[in-house]
This record gives sequence, C-alpha cells and structure tokens, in this order.
Amino acid sequence: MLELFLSFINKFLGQAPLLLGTVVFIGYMLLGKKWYESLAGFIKTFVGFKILQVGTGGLVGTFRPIITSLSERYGIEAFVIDPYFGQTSATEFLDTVDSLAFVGYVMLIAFAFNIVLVLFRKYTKIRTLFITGHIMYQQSAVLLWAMYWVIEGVGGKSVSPFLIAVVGLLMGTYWSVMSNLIIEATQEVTDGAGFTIGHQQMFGAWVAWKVAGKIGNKEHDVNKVNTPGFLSILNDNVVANALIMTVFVGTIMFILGPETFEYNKTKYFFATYVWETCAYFAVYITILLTGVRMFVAELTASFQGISEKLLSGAVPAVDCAVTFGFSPQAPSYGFIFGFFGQMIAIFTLILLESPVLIIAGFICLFFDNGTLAVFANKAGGRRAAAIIPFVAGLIQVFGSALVLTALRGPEEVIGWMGMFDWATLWAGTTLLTNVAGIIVPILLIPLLLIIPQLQYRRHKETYFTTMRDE
Amino acid sequence: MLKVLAACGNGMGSSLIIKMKIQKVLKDMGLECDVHHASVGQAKSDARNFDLVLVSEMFVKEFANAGNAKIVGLINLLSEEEIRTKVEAALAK
Repeated sequence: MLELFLSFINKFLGQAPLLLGTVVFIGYMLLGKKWYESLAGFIKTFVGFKILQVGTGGLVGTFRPIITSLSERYGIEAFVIDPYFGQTSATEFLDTVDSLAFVGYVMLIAFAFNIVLVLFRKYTKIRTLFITGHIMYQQSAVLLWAMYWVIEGVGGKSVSPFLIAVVGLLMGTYWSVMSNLIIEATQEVTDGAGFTIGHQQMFGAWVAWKVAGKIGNKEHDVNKVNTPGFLSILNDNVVANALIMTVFVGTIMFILGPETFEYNKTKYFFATYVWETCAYFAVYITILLTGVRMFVAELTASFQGISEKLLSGAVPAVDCAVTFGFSPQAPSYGFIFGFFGQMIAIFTLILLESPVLIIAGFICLFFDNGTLAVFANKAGGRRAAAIIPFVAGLIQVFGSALVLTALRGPEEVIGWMGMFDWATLWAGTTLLTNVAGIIVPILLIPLLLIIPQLQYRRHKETYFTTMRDE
Repeated sequence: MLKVLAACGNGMGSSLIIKMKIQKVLKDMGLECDVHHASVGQAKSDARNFDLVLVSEMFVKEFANAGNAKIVGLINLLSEEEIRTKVEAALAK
C-alpha cells in the first residue's frame, strides 16, 4: 500500500506536466466548469508543458557547443541574461536531479501564501495578488534552482522538502511585498487604472520612481520626443530575438572562427551558417513561448477564478508591459539607454578578463529597461528615463555576472534572468546564501514583510482605498 | 461566432489579460466568441483570419495589412469599459 502511494507520488505528483495539469483540472472543477472543459484544460496544460520542454531543450542544444568552445579556447564562459535563458537553465538543470516537478510545488506554495497574506491584510498590509502566470512559473524555477545549487547542490540528490517550503514561502513573500510596494507608483503612471506590477523589476521600478524626481523634471515628458523609426521592428519579437542573438552570438562565433564548428561546407558559407545558428534561438524561443502560452493560459484562468472567489478586493499584479500603453515612447527610450549601459558593462568585463562573459538578451533589454523608463519618466521626465535605464544596464550585467560565478558548472546552465530585481535582490540573496546557508532565505521572509508595515504608516487613511470594492 | 485575436509584445502577459477581459465583455454583450492570444510578431501574419484584433494602442500601426480584420487599440488593457466602447464602435463600422 505504502509502495503504491510512493510510486504515485513519484510517477504522478512528481511529474511536472501531470501535476500542473491536475491543478488546472481541479481548479476548473471547483469553478464549476463542465467535466470536458476541465479535461481540455488538463490536456492543454500537459501538451503546452511538453512543447515548452522542446523549446528549452533546443536552446541548450544550440547554445552549449558555443559556450564549450569559448571556454576551451579562452577559458571564459558566456551566458545570456534573458528570463527564458534563466528559466531554461533552471528547469533543465532541476530535471537532472529529478526535481522539475518541485517548481510546481514552489509556485503553489507561493501563490497560496500570497492569498493568505491578502486574507489577513488587516495585519499584513498586503493588498495585491500576483496573477502573472508565466512569471510565477519562471521565478519559482529560477529561485529553486539558485537556492538548491548554493545550499544542497553538492550532493546531487533531489531538492529537500524543507528547502522547497522555504523557497515557496520566500517566493510568495516577494510577490506580495514587492507588488504591494509598487502599487502607488503604478497608480500614478497609469492614472489610477487599478492594477499593480507583478513582474521582474518591481523593486527596480520603485527605485526608479523614487530616484527619478531627484535627477530630472517630469514636465519634460519622454512621450513628446520621437524615437528613431527603425526601433519599430523590435515590436516583432521574432525579429528582435533573431537580430540581437545574431549581433552577440554571431560575433562570438566569428571570433571563434569557422574551424571551431562542424558544418557542411558544401551547403553553407560560414556567414550563412552563423546566421542560421543564431536564427535558431528565435526558433526555440518561439516554440518555448508557444508552450508557456498554452499552459499558462490555463493555469492563470484557473488561478484567477479561484482567487476571485476567495478575495474580491485584491489588486491584481500583472505584466509590466501593461503600463507601456500609458507611456508609449518610454520603452524604446529605456531600450536604447539600457543597451548602452549593458554594452559598456560587457566591454568592461572583457577588459577585466572576467571568467564570465555576459550576452545581452532582448527581453531584459526591452521589457526591463522599458518598464524602468516608464516609471522614471513619470517622476523625472526624459532625463531620468535616460539615466536610470543606463545605470540599470550596468547593474543588470555586473549583477548577473557575479551571481553566475557562483551558479556556473552544470552544463545545462546557459544564462540568468538579468532583470533588475534578479541582478540585485536575488543575485545578492544567492551570493549571501552561498556563504551563510539556508538561514539567509529564512530570515529574508520576515524582513521583507516589514516593508508593507512601513508603507502603511506613511498613509494610513488612504492605504486601503486603492483596493476595489472597499 | 466572432473570431478574436489579442496580441502583445511577447504574447505572454498583456495579451492574456486582454483575452480574459474581452471574453467577459463580449459575453456581457451577448456575443459568442473564440479568443486567441499571441505575440505581435505571430499575430501580424495571422490577423487576416480573425474578425477582431485587440492590441495596445502603440501596436496598431503594425497591423496595416490585416485585411478585413478590425483592429482595436487599447490604452488600459484592464478597463472593461474602454474595451466595450472601442469594440462596439469597431463592430458598428
């Protein structure tokens, strides 16, 4: 009997797509959907997850030979700072220690903890609920990977239940506290649209918002400036990914030279081979996104339905790009200046002969610095929207390079998130944990929970009025 | 049955939000619909096969060759009121 139970845990609840599919199925049943609709939800989640794995496997397979040649030749390793490269590293690595499904548990614990914190908002002062499904999955994966690697990584065993619980609670605390922190600024940026940011740079956007007023003038709005027209091709993510990867990875491939790679010389010039290899990043990212889109759509519908039943007044924490409509020029501005910042930082790494080389990724360049620019512009105009993303670009590269010195090793590792909070808060947490152990993530939970209390003290009377229906 | 496509930069977060909102709005308007979501890059090539395409205002110009599909640009993706007004106007055309 016990054996049957254990093998059920292993072969069912221990398999990420089955687990997530079941969560969706149960969620839909609880929401009163028909059995066949719930079944369809299960299937879409399962298939979506499998498509996602085709994408992540392809990314590692495409990038790994290039990293290997680079480190054999020059003793340096290259990593891409892009959330999907971070996610790929996390899930492909966790799969090698039979722990991929635990990402699902971390996400569920974190989401449940977020709900609990909102339910007890009278005491916790948390008003926001994280419903950005793809980010929730991604961050749970990356945080679990980073914490596991610096705490338990040496043994090569599966992640321990205790660590899963700690990471889940810490993740939920971060979602709750940081999306709650940025609520007032988001209201300001969006003219009171009634949502907050639930993404990768909530702390960053708050810093940008606070600093911007001191370095610029908000009257000089960036939306009165025209950005160069060619930037509009970046609106197409397929084009943007292929272009940026060709620029960076293509350069590395040319430096390594044609003799490093095995390719069919009757079929390709070296240049066309480089182009095709780099275009494959766009191919696998598109596959990966298709998979994530499919399973996250189901998961989010199920999560959102459940949370609406439980908490009607919570402010939804959503994707950062939702703010872009309110400040359409700012993201391009952030992209340009963040790009300069990242370039300078990358060349500095090369000059310093750093063992870790960073490759810029499109999502981090555009969405992260774009969001910082939106918040910076609202409080400090175009000057702030230029300076802050520039500095953020430096931070994204240096912070990620530092944390990768601790995380590199396994061959599945091809990158890190790079986004502002991950190059600062989480890079710092990972490095500290590497030295001091599991006490760091445990202590961080109560420390973070102090933040909403401080916010509440500042404006007690209006604090809860941002919540709907209250 | 109205075929609707919601699109945003990566086709992950914002377009999913539009999708959930438009489903609710069209249901309230008493219209049957089938809503998909995608990235702008993918949506551009696919827009012709839909009746209605919803995107953030800044992406509207990307959809110049969308055939008969009606393009609706939104400022606040979470505002059911804005979506309803703009969709009603677009469908009346």
